[in-house]
Amino acid sequence: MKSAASANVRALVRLVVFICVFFAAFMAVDRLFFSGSNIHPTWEYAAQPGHDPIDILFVGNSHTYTSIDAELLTQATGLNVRELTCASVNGEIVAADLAAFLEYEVPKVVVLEMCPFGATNFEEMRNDKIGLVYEHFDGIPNPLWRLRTLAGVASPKDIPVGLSQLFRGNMMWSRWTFDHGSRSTYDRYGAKRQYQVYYDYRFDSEAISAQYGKAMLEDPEGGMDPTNLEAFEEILELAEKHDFEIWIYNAPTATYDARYARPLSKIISMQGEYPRLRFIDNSMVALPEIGLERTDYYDAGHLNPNGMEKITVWMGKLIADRFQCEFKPDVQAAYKETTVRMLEDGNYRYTFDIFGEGERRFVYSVGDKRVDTGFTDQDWIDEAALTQREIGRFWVYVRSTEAGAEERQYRFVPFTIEHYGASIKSSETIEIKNESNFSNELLFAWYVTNKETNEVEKYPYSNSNIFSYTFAESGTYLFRAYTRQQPEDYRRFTDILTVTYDAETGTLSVDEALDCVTVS
Amino acid sequence: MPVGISFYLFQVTGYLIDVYRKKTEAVRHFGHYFLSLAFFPKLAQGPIAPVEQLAPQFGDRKRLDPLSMRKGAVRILIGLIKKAVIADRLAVIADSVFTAPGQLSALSTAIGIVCYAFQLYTDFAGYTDVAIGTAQMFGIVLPENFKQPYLARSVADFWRRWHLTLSNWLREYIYFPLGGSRVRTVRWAINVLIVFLVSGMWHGSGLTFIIWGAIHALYQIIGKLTAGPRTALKTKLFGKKVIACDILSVASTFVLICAAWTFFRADSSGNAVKMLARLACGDWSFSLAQLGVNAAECWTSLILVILVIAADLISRRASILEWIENRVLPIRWMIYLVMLFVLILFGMYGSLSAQSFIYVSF
Repeated sequence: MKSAASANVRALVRLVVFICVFFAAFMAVDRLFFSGSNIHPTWEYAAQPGHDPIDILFVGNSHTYTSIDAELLTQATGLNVRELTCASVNGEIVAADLAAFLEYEVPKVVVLEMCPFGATNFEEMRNDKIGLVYEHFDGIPNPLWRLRTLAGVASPKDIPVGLSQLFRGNMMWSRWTFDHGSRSTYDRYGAKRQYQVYYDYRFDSEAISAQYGKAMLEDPEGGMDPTNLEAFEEILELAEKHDFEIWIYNAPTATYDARYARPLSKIISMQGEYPRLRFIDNSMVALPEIGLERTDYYDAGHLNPNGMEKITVWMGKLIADRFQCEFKPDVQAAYKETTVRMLEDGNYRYTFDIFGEGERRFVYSVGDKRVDTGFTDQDWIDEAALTQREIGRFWVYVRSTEAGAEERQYRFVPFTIEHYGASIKSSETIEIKNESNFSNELLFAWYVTNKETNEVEKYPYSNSNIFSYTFAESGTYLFRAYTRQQPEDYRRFTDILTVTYDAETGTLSVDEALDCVTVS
Repeated sequence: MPVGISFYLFQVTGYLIDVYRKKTEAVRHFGHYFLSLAFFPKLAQGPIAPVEQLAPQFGDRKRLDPLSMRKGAVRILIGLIKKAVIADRLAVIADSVFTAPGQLSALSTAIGIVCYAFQLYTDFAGYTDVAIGTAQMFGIVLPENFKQPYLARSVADFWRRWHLTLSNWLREYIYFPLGGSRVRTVRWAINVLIVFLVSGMWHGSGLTFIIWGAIHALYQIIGKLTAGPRTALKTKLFGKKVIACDILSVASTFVLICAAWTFFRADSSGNAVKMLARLACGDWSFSLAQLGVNAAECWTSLILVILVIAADLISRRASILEWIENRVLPIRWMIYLVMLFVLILFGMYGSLSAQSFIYVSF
């Protein structure tokens, strides 16, 4: 009995020693493989000694980085504006993220986008909830400190996810984007999803305003769930502790979205208590001023580069007022332009004009996703998914073939989207198909607007969803499709595409493919 | 359906038949009997342990045994690696291919089917390892379920290696009572067909599972009927080159098994046919986009498949677990650490990446 007991004690001691060895190995492996490649640019910047202090920090999720162009704001105001954003985060993660970041750098103003504080369903949507936090935590040098932060935000079921991210996020193979389960879905169905989303939502600013108002009348206390409310209050405490202002704004949506409406009234009601809190209402008051149209949206909740530019310019004026500085946006200078062509197989070809002598493309990146690696001198890449590209997070990294040369990063916005197809180039007549998927008894009508003369040609309702149009003169034309369903007489219209026709060369290019449409 | 119902129904049915036949004595202790049915590690996916083997173990007085705890923990770790690192990673490719039946190239389709074969194996074997390891930590011995199935030299051999506890149950309680192989050939063929149709229906009520069972029955029947000529052909072709003959046998068996798995995994029998027909289309172009992975992940998946095969080849001669156990402490710990890091670093986690256990739905 005694020997059995001592064997148990021995085993227990061994177990404790093994756990210690495990953590020691963790630290060693972490150090050994630390490549620094996975640091969020803002973290990386904040960690650099002697950097210019950050004036304004935008914090939020995909709605933030698709509505604000920090680079443009920096150029236009001379202030140092940065983003600390990551897709699909809720308030809990935003708070943890910000708390960790403030250990390094305290900006003068933190602009919080409110969508994360109305989000309750992202936990199910994301496969790497804690990984999101950790994507930024590459900037935190002590892995055990990261563990502590992880424990602060993780629920038990997230621990394996977070632990795996905690390790591999820091390691060289993080570039391999191992979290592939969801990405493969995007790759395969991305483009289809994009069109579907576009098709299903209608932009309706009046309805948005009305519903926001209704939300506030019916729910004056606000609908923030306890977790998000706690996170929000934690950020307010951080503002007190670190002495910075908080601006709240809601990224515009194309339609009513409860994720925005829920926290709205609650946050407004808290303004009086917290003098550092400033709410910027751009849903009801400023929407006409910003001038957003449905064509400024990538989907119901995210702006495309055009929309991003509008909201950034609008926000820039507010910033200039607050900091008493000039605001001179040079929109074109902020981006390099590239051409995106839709190939016949449904993929997209991105063509770059960025290579200097002796330079090769190093890694091609879209948003947070590094899509392709390896040296090549080809100036194009074909990709199936267009989901993230359309919304302006589009980077290409280039590095010289010389060893040790610094990477340079280029940002691109796909201003021009061209359909690729022999028939479009050689024919003066195009056929457009309205792929509305209503139930039976459909009628279709078409409006063709010459965008230069504003003349409108109307083609009344017919039973055919195929529309043939022959160009008479050169110019840019907007094609609008009307759909009417009987017996409810439900009608709606869709701006389908803009076509530029050059009569001299006989070529057509489709500048914007806006909806579920096929062109032949 | 209640979780694990197929497994414990078979367990209790076998027990009742054995008691009825007086092959075993009834378990008099209700707690032991009930626990042998509901013992949590094997409840959801087996192994289908005979009550008469399991119940007596619950009567033994158990003490905390550090050695069993350690061995059990290592077995669990290996199971988790099989599931989270290998099966769920291969699932990305398999799912990409099976969701687009007949639309991909022949090579992509073939890769997808092979990935599914290994996904299914590592998924199920992974769970079994976790179940056996967990039971081992409590001092309970559960039966093994796999014995390097993809190294089988024939389909009959495959069934002596795949899901052993189910195979044993079917043999014991259906095949033998029907007369087994000690009957005329026609009757034997009918017996085999019945056994495999039952096996198919046990996996699910869909037509795909029934076809899968029928295909395996057909394999067995044709295999037996052509055994003589095939042996003669092999002798003529390979003579005394046993290894070459073995490789051909293993490879051809694997191909047959994979063809059957296509029906097992496909959403419908039509889709399975489309996929198999696609293999004959002659388009052997390679496309990462079709597989839904990037180059690194494709290579990783290939390496994992090779590792599974290598581990099975080694396991034929000696138990890897025993080999680890016999190393000196520093080496052993190093192996444990490597396994832990492999699991953490390369595992698939999260609600979208991680997959449910496949057999839990049966």
